[in-house]
Amino acid sequence: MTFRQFLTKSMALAVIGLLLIVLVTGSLNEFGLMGDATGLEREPISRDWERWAKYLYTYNYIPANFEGLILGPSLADNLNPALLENRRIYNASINGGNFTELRLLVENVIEHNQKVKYLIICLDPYLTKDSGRKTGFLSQRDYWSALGSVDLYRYYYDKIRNQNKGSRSYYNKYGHYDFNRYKDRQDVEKAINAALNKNRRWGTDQFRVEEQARRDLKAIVNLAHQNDIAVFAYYYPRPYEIYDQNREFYEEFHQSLDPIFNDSDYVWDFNTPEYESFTRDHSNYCDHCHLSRQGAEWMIKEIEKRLNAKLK
Amino acid sequence: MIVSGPITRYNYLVPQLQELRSLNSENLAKGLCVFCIGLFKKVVIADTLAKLATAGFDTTAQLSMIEGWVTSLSYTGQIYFDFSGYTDMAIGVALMLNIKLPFNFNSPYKALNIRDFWSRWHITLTKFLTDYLYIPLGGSREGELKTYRNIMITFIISGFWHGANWTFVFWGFLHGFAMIIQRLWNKLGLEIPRLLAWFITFNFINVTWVFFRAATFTDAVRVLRGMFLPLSLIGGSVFSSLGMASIWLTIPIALISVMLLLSKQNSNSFTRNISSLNRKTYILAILVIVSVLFLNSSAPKEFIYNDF
Repeated sequence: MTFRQFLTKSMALAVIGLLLIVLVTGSLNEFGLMGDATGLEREPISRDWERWAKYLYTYNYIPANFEGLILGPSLADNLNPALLENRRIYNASINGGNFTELRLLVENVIEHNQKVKYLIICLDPYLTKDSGRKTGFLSQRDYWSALGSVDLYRYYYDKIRNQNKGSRSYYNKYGHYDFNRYKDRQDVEKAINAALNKNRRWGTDQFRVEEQARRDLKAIVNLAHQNDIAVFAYYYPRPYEIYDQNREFYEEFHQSLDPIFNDSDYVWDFNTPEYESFTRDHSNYCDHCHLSRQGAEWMIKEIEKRLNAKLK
Repeated sequence: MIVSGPITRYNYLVPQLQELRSLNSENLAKGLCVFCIGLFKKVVIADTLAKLATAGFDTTAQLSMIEGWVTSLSYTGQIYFDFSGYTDMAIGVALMLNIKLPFNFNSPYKALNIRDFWSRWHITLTKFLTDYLYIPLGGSREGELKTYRNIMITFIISGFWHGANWTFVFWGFLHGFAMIIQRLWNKLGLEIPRLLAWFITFNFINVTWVFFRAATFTDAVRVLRGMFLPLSLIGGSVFSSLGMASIWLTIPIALISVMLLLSKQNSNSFTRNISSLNRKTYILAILVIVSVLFLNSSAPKEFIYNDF
């Protein structure tokens, strides 16, 4: 065998091997990347894979199947769009996410947009306290990884392991994450008191609005405006005592974010006296900030009312 | 590529650049082989071991004995496969362009003493420091005490060259000290069985890498305490954050890395002995496929030696 033959044969084998891998993963179509995704049902297998899976869904699955997106951190991740009969909304919230990461999702959805008409944005200091991607996921590389990579095999390993253990996914095809299931066991009063004490001791540094995070939110809103996508944004309802303790900050937070939106946007605050009966009722919470099932159900219905009023 | 190594002298490199020839299939094939071996070492082995090493060095306070050893051995593997992978890639690309760069590693973890190690590890740096520091200081020409002084200065500067942190300086000091001990031992004329010599040398290198990798002395001492005076034997929480899939993936890769470290062949000899091309065709294709699958993942891929 000559060196030329050696080179040709080894490279040809490598290319054929890689093509075979892409063909197999493409035919499995785990993330709905191939062909028409209309009617497909896909759900992330676990929190570890949420960023990757939801980002991959933004290429084809979400644009083909949903008319609206919910964007937020874990605070919004437990809103279940399946409860809304007349709306097809995908909950693209990310556990531990920030506006940089949500921006990456929105940009990709809009780039591949077919049907998305509105965004529902959760506004909470958790999303603006930092910026930048928190993991290696949420980039164009993810698309190629989904065609054949160690990440993909780790994902399949976890999926098969979950199936063998008989554990169900906490997600549904609408992107809703049912973490109330284990949060329900927590003592809410204790969690709220602990948060109040922590704020008393350490101050509210965790609430600062990072400039880049603000710019990322602004980019999301601008992108929606440019693409005739309606913007709904709500200030997340914190338990009354926590809001009251940090009222000054939350008002500053308002002042910082309000100018991002214009008159055509629909922005409201769940911490106003109108909603005090909700925020004072701790059965609406499963810890010091996340909503219980009851609270989340009420909230998605409340959001629906706003959507119906504006979108007709 | 030349920033980190192989450190190449002007007289060695420039004549080759002045006589550049058109590409030929032999150098292309050999260069590609070396490049792919380097890529495999880096993205498959080093980056996988890096996850264990990082998890361990990030949580030094909790290390059990097994976790301490896994942490230190992972880093020992990581730094070798990372840096030798890097230099293989540089050597391979250069060879594809008909430029022969000097080899920089020669199975260093097979060394039977510390001097042997430094004749196999980052060979071009060792030569550079010998020619431009140790010999100008007087080398071994001016009596035993001055020889020890020169060895110690050379190694401490070598440590400082890797980073402006006392942990690097201490790492250099330990290697200098070991070189002096070895010189004294050689004078006694006592022989050590080969296996014992390898065992002592390898473990010394493994322990000293802990100082090289740890962010602070406290972290280094905690890792060593985990290895030798642990609070528990097994532990189990340090690597759990990596997830079961990553841990299962690490096991075959750790085995491959041990096989490569013990193998008679290394990337230098792989290309020198190009007789069985047919078999190497399949090896090369597999190296490319596996490397692409790893490269196409989200793990960070920075080269360690880019920091030095």
